[in-house]
Amino acid sequence: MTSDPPRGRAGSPTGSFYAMSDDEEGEYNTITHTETGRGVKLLYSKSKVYIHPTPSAKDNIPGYIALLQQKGAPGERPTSSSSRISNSPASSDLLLAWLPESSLGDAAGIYVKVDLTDGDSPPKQTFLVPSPPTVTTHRGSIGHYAFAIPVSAIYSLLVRPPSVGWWFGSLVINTRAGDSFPALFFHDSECQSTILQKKKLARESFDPFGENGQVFWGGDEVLRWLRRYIHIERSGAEPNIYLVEPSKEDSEGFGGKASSSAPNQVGRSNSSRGISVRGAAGASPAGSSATHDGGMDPVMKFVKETGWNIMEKFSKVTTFTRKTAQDIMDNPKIPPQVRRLMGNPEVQTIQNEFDSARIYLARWAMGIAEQSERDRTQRIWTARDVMEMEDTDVGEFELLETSSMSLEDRRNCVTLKEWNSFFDRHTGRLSMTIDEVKERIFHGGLDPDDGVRKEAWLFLLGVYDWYSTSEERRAQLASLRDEYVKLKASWWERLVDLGGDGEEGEWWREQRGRIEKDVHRTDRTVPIFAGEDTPHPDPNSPFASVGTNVHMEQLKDMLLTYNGYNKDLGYVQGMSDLLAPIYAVMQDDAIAFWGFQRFMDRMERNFLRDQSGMRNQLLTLDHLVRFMDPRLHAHLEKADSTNFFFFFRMLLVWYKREFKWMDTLHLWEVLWTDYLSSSFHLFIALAILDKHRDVIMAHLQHFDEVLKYMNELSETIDLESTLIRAEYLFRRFQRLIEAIDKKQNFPAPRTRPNSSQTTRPGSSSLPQQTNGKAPEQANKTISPELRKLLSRNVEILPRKAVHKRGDGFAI
Amino acid sequence: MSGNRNYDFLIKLLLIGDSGVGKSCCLLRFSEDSFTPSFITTIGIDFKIRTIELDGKRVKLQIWDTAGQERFRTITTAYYRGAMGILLVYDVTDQRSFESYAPIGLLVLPGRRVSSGLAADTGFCIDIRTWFANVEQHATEGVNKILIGNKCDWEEKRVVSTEQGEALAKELGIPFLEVSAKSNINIDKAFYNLASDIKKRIIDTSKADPSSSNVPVGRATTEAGGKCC
Repeated sequence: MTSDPPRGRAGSPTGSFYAMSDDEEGEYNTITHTETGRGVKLLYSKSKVYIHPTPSAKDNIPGYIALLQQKGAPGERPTSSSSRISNSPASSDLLLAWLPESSLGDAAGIYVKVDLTDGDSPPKQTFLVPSPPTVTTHRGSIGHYAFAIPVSAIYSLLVRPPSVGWWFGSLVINTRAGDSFPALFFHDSECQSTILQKKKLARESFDPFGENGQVFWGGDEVLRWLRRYIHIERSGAEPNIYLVEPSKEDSEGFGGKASSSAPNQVGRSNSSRGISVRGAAGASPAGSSATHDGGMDPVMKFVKETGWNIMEKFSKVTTFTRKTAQDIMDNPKIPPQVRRLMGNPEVQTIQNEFDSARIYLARWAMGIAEQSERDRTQRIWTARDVMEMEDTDVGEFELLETSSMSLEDRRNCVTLKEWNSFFDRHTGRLSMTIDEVKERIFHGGLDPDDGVRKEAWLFLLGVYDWYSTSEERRAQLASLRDEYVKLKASWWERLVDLGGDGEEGEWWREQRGRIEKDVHRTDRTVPIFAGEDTPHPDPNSPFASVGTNVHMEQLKDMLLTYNGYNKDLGYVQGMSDLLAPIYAVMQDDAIAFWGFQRFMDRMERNFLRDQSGMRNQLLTLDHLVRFMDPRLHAHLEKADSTNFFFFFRMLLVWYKREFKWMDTLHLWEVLWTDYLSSSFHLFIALAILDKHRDVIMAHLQHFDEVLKYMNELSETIDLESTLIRAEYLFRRFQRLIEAIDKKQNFPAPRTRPNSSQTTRPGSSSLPQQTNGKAPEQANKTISPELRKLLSRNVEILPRKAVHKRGDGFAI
Repeated sequence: MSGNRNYDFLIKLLLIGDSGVGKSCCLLRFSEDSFTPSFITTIGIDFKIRTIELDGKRVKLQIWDTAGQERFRTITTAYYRGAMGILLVYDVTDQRSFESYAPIGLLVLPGRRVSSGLAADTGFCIDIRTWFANVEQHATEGVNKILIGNKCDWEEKRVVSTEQGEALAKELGIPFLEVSAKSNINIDKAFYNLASDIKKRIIDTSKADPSSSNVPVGRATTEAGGKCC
């Protein structure tokens, strides 16, 4: 079947055509409109070229690939040095286009005709068709709509002939702006012109194969069309890449003569958007090996060990843009080598050992997307980047007023010098508002190297009063030191006789053993806790044979002191994780102890025996996700994952396992400011989820898959972008709440009073969405848990509650 | 991706035992055949996968690892239900992880020995009997169990003898093995034995009586189709 495209649905061809393109103008960066009314010249076309927006074949969109010629600007001469035909158009006047069959309307007949014309020479006759929207870059979700790219804006073509395992041949257009259009799949068996051509080839030479012995297919045709007008060079580094009118450097770097991976970076700037985008040279060799140090992912490791060179070269000629993972998986831009690797029995065995290959592919896809994101932004994040990032196909996204978030300039860290300037020189009293200081730390963090943390953390943790004088602080420190010594002495005496008799003695011995075990496995990769050069003071310790170091011993003492200080709760696993960073910064046991004690005030609820604090936080997170991203929530519900249990570890030790050590310190000081909300850590959770939402929704169907995926994000999350995203999400949340409150201040419609007040029994106060006429309003009723997220006050449990539910040893 | 799954049965196992007995190390040894003296504590839950062959069938083991401290038991409990087999792990060099001192348990804290399995409200350590009672209380009925004494390579620190371990296992009516994750002693055997018992219990019975509710296997089999993309 064939070149018999369905007729356009709308009445007039141009009408339907432009209706379509106008709708989507935002999606594409439209720079040219050739609205001459006469349209453009159709040079070549080929039918049954599909976009596969989803893995499901029923979603495939059939269309035409076409080479068009638009009228050149007056006086403009062809610039292509390699033009083979005199009078040939400039490459900027040539458009490579794809048009869905459904958009052709009355022009369909012309496309069919040109398709069936013998492709050996350009048509003698001039065929005019309406001009499709011309773009130079592809952004956003996979396009379901027509596009046309000036050939001059194409950087390279990734051409994959049909092969076993990847049935359809395909072509991906990589633009000079550094991004890629969706893959175009050639369904040759449906394409009349290709069938005819194959037959013709067979008839003429009894050989149905192309130049290099490959089966003739539709993609060859497209290359032939282009070669007629412009210079195309096959990449030596990656034979499936064809460079379009390459510059000298590109040609040398990746062209036919390229031998090794050249280190040159080909930065490209997209002047139409005014943003510098790193194009083809996405990942530098150093960068890629550093970030893809596939420590725990065997698939990645295997790829790295066997084929990293290939990947490296590959990354130079193409750029993976941010896409859904499915997009990437379906995208033939996955180097064939990698695809082959995936099919390799050895890799498959590795994969099989894991719960689901899907998770690993998903992670891999995310890794690539993340890498290119990092490369493109080069760590200079602007609010606009984030908003563009956020602007997924969810729709309903309002952009923030740019003025409210001119973040870049506020994101330098606070140095000791700047910190000191906040205080009055004579009294040592803070001379600006607390909020001003907090705002600086919230956005910029503190300098990790100059010792400012040592001072500033004591304010953030509440050891120092914000408006104290330096004299007062000295006094405060002295008295805290005394107190610590006393507290420590009290259990020290007790442990002289091994904890004493009875129940309490047993409890002490237990707790001591537990602390001992936990300290020896807390942050041991951090230099100050790594050493084992000191003989262990207790020969009966299980660690007597390996030795210890003075800092570990200090941690143990502080935790035992805390165990005695807060007997209601006692030591619980996870606390050593909370103490270690504070101690590492202070390197003074008494001061660190009190910093930790203040920190514990807010964390206490997470350690209660009945786990009520954790449960409550996970519930709040559930409400938050439902409120902010109902589609993701619905997916998680389907995957049986709305217990959000995969956030347990993150919430208990404040993301310590998810971020690298230095990033954790930064994150904690940001969270301690309570600048926007005392529950900002839940927005961090939301940001992490949001970042991975596409992958989760596309690939993870069961709780175990979601859990595994989230657990393995450990130490891979980029802090800076997460913080920005979290702030953005918070502000969006805040605005939504405000908007709803405003709306609800209007008198309710009389028809169904109180209908939106029904609450879901047990679970939450969110009303059922199916109920009532105003689903939008019902959907947005705000639970008390959500409302609390706007508060900046830290929730500290009353002593009584801890006593009752703490499960320590207090009688 | 092809639709054919790479295993015949999926078996879900759970590791429990006091904190620091080496649950995660046993799991690492079994799933990746490696050992690192553990540098982190387990917080929350995680699992690992290994596919083994039993009587010519490929059996995929999904093994859940949990935080050991008693405080987090409310969480752990939620995972008992889906488990088909449970490894109760103690440390042969740590008396408390095996059996709390009887006098204290019986005289001072009588609440700890409650038969209901709702163990101690004030308990701070969980020994094997307490874990066992807990399993009886919360796990699916008939779930297979095995008692594991880890760190058996460490003779000079040993405080729980093999005989004591055997006696307790006998008392509880479950199999017993001493293992060492560090020296790779009996680790495979422990998991294979348990898996094989489960296979016998679930798969072989379900053959005998196809109408019986072989929920776990049935689910595993159907799940399999959905899981491989």
